[in-house]
Amino acid sequence: MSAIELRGVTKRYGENPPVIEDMDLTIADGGFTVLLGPSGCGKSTILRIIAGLEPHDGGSVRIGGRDMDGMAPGERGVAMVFQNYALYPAMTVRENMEFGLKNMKVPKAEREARIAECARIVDLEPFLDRKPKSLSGGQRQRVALARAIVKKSGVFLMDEPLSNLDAKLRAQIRADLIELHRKLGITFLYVTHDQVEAMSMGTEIVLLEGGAVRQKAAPTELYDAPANLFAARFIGSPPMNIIETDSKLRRDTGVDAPYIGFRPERAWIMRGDGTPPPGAVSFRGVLAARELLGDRTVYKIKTDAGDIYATESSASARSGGAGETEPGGAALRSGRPVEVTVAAGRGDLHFFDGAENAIPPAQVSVEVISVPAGICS
Amino acid sequence: MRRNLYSRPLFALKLAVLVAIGIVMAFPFVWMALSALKTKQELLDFSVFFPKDAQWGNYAEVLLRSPIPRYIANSVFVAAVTVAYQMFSGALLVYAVVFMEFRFRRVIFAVVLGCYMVPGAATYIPSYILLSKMGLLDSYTGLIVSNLVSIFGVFLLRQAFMQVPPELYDAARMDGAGHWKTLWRVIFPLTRPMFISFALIAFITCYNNYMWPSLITNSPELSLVSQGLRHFFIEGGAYGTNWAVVMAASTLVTAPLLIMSLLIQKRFIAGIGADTGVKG
Repeated sequence: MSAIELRGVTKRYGENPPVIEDMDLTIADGGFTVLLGPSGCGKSTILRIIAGLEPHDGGSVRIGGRDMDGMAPGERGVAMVFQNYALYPAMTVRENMEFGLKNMKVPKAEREARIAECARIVDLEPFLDRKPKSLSGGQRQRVALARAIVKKSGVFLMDEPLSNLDAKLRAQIRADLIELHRKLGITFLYVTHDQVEAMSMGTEIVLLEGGAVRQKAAPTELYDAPANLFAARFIGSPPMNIIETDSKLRRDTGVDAPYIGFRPERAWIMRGDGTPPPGAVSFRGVLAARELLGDRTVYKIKTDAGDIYATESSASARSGGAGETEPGGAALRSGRPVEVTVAAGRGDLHFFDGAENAIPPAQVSVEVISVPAGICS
Repeated sequence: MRRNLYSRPLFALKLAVLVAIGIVMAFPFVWMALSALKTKQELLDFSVFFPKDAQWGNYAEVLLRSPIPRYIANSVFVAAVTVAYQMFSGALLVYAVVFMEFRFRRVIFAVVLGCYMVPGAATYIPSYILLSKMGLLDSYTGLIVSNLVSIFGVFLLRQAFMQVPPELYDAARMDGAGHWKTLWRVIFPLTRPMFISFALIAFITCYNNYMWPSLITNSPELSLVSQGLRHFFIEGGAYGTNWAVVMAASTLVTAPLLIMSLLIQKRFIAGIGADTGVKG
């Protein structure tokens, strides 16, 4: 039982405006919750407040129903993995793992049993008597994990633990962490600025901006139904296309939302003025750039409504699926403007009001939006 | 490849400069050690550099029939106790100032460093009065108590502690370690080279200390080496001084420092920062 509850938590440094103000947040017991946000959004501060490393100025923190007020970090039943590992360099891997257990007064026999078990889980058995400096980055990372696991805490806090690893190792440890979470069944709280990490590992994502929660949802919901423009623009690569509707556009189309959005991967892209499917909104423009990413291709299209991105999976391009006529790179390279039409189906559209919050699609009336290509070529 | 980078003439020049400096530094010591083996006549004759017959008796005289060994033991004892406590007190203060968060942390450190600006001589009279009121004059307790904290040491250790990544302190707290354990099990092993450097410097300073010990100790049997040496060579009056024996005494007096320096030379050079346990 290790749900984490923050009630009205405020944190300020000196006389500056608070970095976190009156935050309420509940982190589900046994979940893999990710605190996601750009740098400076307060995500690490929240983690440190929960760990007890940073005092907060107001509100309460409860872990597993117990009030943490005045409790030292070592007494909270939480374990933490630091961004730079923070292994004790003078101690061997075994001593690194044992240090916390000794402080918790765990008997020797049990300490040894736990260390052996954890070393097996993270594959560190051959390295127990080595010092951290003789280990590789990935191995050090695993020692940091083992040092936290061995304490058998109910809560596992991780502060950007993968940011020092190369891309390949990162992908591997992501999978390891998901497996570890399933195996241990404890509460994971993970801080990152990387949406891929958040989407791939989290069972729930807390999206933060400027010390406030902008959306708290499962990864699929965050992706499918962003609650506001910030969430829409933060998640996805490239992010959602957001089109600010001017009065002419609104009059032409009957859309009564200030912003409409659609994901690049849901957009159709057609050479020339191909006919969009019925009910779709379409924009005519000029192809500006094309990025080949292997599994998919990203197109940047200049239109009167602004730059629009559209992605097309390589499979569909080859089979002539959604792309119909692949707006090939040859034409683009030749320097001739390539006129295309981008379209998105009615069901793939997102709408946002003037306060940048999402409007349920059912409440918005739309006729076919069609913006002709214009001066931007 | 290295050879090419350091061209030979440049290398030779560097070597020559270093050798020259080495000779200048070592010459007085060599001369002193050799003079201790000369007769009184040889010593005053500048044309003689090496003694004809080594007068080992001079050393025997100092070792067996003078109070110098006693003075050396006194100094080693006082310096060892003082340095041990200076390291201890310095570590506690610096740990608090660098890692713990409390009000007036900066002010406290500024005050401590501010004391460094006060010349030592200016503290002699107030310290003397203080010690006399406490009844600690003419005792090692007085001598040691008045040197329990070294501000130089505080400054040196602070530099080392600030190199320690704060995450290690956080990790130790997460592991439930108290401050005492964090200091000695986590921070100390990382900053050990600086402790050793400090110990060496502080030991030499203490061992060589002359002015302050001679102000507060009176009894000859409590004398430290510098005082003792002075007693020793004014004993026979200005013209009766047996300089060869004085040289032997001086050579013996430097022996503990030489031995200590040789023993910890390697560790003294090893700096912090080789591995701090974090990646970044």
